[in-house]
Amino acid sequence: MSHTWSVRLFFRIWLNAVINFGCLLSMGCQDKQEISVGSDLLEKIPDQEGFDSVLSFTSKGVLEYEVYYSRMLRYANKKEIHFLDGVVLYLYEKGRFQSEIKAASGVLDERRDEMSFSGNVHVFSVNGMKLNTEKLLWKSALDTVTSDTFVTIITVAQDTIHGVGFGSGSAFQNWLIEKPNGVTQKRIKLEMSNSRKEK
Amino acid sequence: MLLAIIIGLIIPVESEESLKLVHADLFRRMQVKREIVQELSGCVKLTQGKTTIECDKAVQRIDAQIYELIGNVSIYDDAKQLYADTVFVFEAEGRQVASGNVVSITKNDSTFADHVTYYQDEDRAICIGNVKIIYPEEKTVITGNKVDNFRQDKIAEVTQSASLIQYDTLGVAQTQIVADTLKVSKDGDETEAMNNVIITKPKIKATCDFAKYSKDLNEIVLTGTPKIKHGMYNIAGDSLKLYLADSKLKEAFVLGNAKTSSPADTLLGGEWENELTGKSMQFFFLAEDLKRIIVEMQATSIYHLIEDDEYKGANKLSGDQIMVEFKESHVDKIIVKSDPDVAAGTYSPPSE
Repeated sequence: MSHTWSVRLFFRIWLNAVINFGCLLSMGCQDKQEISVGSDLLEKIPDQEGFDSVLSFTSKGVLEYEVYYSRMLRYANKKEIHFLDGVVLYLYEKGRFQSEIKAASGVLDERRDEMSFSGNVHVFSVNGMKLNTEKLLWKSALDTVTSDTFVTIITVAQDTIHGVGFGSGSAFQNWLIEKPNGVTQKRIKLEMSNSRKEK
Repeated sequence: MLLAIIIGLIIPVESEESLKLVHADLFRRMQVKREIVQELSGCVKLTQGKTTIECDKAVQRIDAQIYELIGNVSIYDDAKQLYADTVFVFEAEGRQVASGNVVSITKNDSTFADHVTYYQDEDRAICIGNVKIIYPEEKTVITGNKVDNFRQDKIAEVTQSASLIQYDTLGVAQTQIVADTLKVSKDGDETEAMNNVIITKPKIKATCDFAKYSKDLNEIVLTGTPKIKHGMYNIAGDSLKLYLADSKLKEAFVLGNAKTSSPADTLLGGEWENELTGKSMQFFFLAEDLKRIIVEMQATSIYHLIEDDEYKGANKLSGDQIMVEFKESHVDKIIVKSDPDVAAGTYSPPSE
């Protein structure tokens, strides 16, 4: 058994003891009431909770990304961190700011090193691109941002592109939208008649 | 009010004339080195005002200001259509290049070419390779390997196998002008042909260095050693004017060193030629058949007599005016009008 597992087991025993003790106390006050706590419920209880703070992730001392949150719940057994009531991810490349992803909520999967966002997701990149959607997935290892739902992009030239399905690098330099449609601020001067002007 | 201004600044303004993306399978934005490239692929459909653009792939090179429309390109509105394999727009240069099976259709004309380059600032379009321009209203077709359209001046300069064909209402070619260079102006109503000019009509072939065809005036003026062959008649002079009616030859006028010749008898190998000379000559045609010739000023006629394949000598007439009447393509009458002192007639019997 690894050190991590032994710590986890100890924590669970301790948590069970605390809960059972609490139950005994309350049962003492109420007649014939039975309360039991199963493993399912235990998994739903976070190991860690935080408010209005920031998580910073670095690699070899260089800032890679930061997560600003209103409320954070960490589930150690699932290796998941849930962010509620508003979350912002700041992405950096070689320590330089690249883009930010804002959402109502997000889940950081520590095992896969990826973070999913949902609800009012807004992306702002340093190159001026904006993206709005309801769901977005950022994969740190692959350096990709994807969405399989309806997305709206406003480019730096103020072109508005809608589509269903989106993929990009985290710098939002190269990206694609499936089934696109939209409006640009552009007007192409096109010629159709070559021999003479219209009468 | 202030709120409206702020909203106006934040929300992109959608202009009726701005480019709209109606459909594509994929929109891809790429940064290649320092160049930003945006690419639409798969059944691309864009609109811009009343104009619709359709193609297989559309690429925008943002920094270079280049648009590439690739594969089955159609650009059309209510009045005009352009089809091509590819259309490239070089916005910074004000240049547009349509390549591969280019077809441009307007209410006034249809153009077919391998490539068409539009110079927007110069208001000029150059068509290259197997160019064919059809003017349905004027019943005129221009062909050549290069057509340079100066659209502001409504002039098209056709070079490299240049040709203009004028059709009648039944669609039968009535006039064909071939030259090294053709300049078509006024919506095809006026054509100048330069160098190695050949004008062909159903019964006529004319050659010269320079010809001017005016559809309004129904005339073709030929200069620079003009020559006409009409059946067995060869006509030459300093300048020639052909008058047309419904695209058919009605009259011809030769000015300066006018000369008409025809073989006296083709069976004898064209040994003798009948000749008409004068300072000016008028030809009258009916259904493009020669009916009358009027020779004026120092008019001379040499007519060889051949009977039963036997040469009988020559008649030489001279006067102020000689009129030759034709019947069934043969000389019927020769009338000389002249001052008696000037008129002369001599018969030369065959020499031994």
